[in-house]
Amino acid sequence: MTKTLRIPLIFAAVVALAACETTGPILTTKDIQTIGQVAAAASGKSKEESEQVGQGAGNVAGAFSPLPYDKERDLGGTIAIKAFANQGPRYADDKLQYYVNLVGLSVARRSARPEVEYSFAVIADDDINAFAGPGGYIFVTTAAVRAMRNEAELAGVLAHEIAHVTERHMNQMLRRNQAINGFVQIGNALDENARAAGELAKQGEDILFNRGYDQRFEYEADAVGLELATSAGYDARGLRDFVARIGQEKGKSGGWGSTHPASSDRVARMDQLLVSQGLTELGGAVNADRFRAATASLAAN
Amino acid sequence: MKLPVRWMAIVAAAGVMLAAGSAAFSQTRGGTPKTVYVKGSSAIVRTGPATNAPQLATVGKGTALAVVGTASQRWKVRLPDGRQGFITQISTTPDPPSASDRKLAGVLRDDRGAGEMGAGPSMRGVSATAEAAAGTELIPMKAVADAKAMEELAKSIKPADIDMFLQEGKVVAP
Repeated sequence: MTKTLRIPLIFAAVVALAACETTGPILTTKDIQTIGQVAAAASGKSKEESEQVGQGAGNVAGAFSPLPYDKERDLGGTIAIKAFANQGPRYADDKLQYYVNLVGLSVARRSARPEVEYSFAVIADDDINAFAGPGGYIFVTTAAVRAMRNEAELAGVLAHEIAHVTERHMNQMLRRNQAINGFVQIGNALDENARAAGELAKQGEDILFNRGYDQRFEYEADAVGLELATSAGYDARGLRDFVARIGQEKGKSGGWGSTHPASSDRVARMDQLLVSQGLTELGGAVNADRFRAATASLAAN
Repeated sequence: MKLPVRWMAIVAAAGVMLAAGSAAFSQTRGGTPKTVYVKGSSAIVRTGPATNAPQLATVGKGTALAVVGTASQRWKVRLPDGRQGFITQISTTPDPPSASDRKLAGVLRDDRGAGEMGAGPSMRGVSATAEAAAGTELIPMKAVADAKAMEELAKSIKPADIDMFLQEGKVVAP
């Protein structure tokens, strides 16, 4: 068998076996590692090369397994520390931090993953942004809170971030990287030409993951978030109104604007959902007065 | 024509030396400076003036240290968190840092042992990763403390607190 034929065959086998991992525990990562190793040895590779192929195959397969909760928490903790180090310190208003946690936990208890130990923090940052680390560490900037008008908007934004956690979006992003590493490892073993290995990794990325995949996650988080905030008892339009407002204030959307799809698209999709799901008819709490009182220190600064 | 040029050079050199001497002297002439700032990307503060004294903390560039005394070419200083220790004088400058140099300012790492810090059992997640992160990167201790505070606050909130909060705000699940 020629080398050009062997490489795609081994890849196809690994992808097929790895895909099986998503449907059920047909084969373990260790099994796939062994199969990759045997396949490479059969195709005339040395022992060392075969071991490397096996390891790469195991990594690809492992990439499709869910990240265990304790690992998710460790990763989230590290990201939390880095967020405070690089994005901004925790905003010095204990009452506001407590209030944001109460709103966040009220929504999170209705989520698909209520067992996650969620925690929320307002960070001092002039960029309008909110983001979620794995394991339930959720952040919202002072600029974002300033741009909100009521508790329903805060609940909506936090619900969107909680949705990233419940849908394990970060996990999926990390899996992609792990899969690419696996492919690079196989590519390196099969062909010493680094450029060829890199090209194979790119092909693997194109096959397994389409571009614009982050946007899909954002739309998904909007949809899940709308439902989540509503199920907790908040006005369903909170997230939609916030996104629409910061979209209108061109140039002020900061990190949220650069990491999320266009506001107009998101608002249009949410409007559609609000109508089709009948969410606006449910009413729900808005609590503008309580929000104003809790965020008074931000208004004063 | 060569003589005046030579003399001018000598006078200029003397001027430079006098200026340098004056600058060096000005640091000590008026007594001990009230505040010094860390010069390098980081510096070690020890519990005593000896070179082998236990490390108290690692401080970042631009960290302001209040000088409370001197000993053996070292300043006895007060850290931003109030603790006192010793730092070599050559690691510091009396000139305040520029805004860009203040990025690393602060206590980067607490170098005391866990026992001395009074640390209890490791907090799940944050504490373990904080240790790892602080060990490999220059992460300000404030960031680690912020992450712990974030986690502790959420843990302190009981389901009954949430129930009361929802009730007060008339937030009712449909």
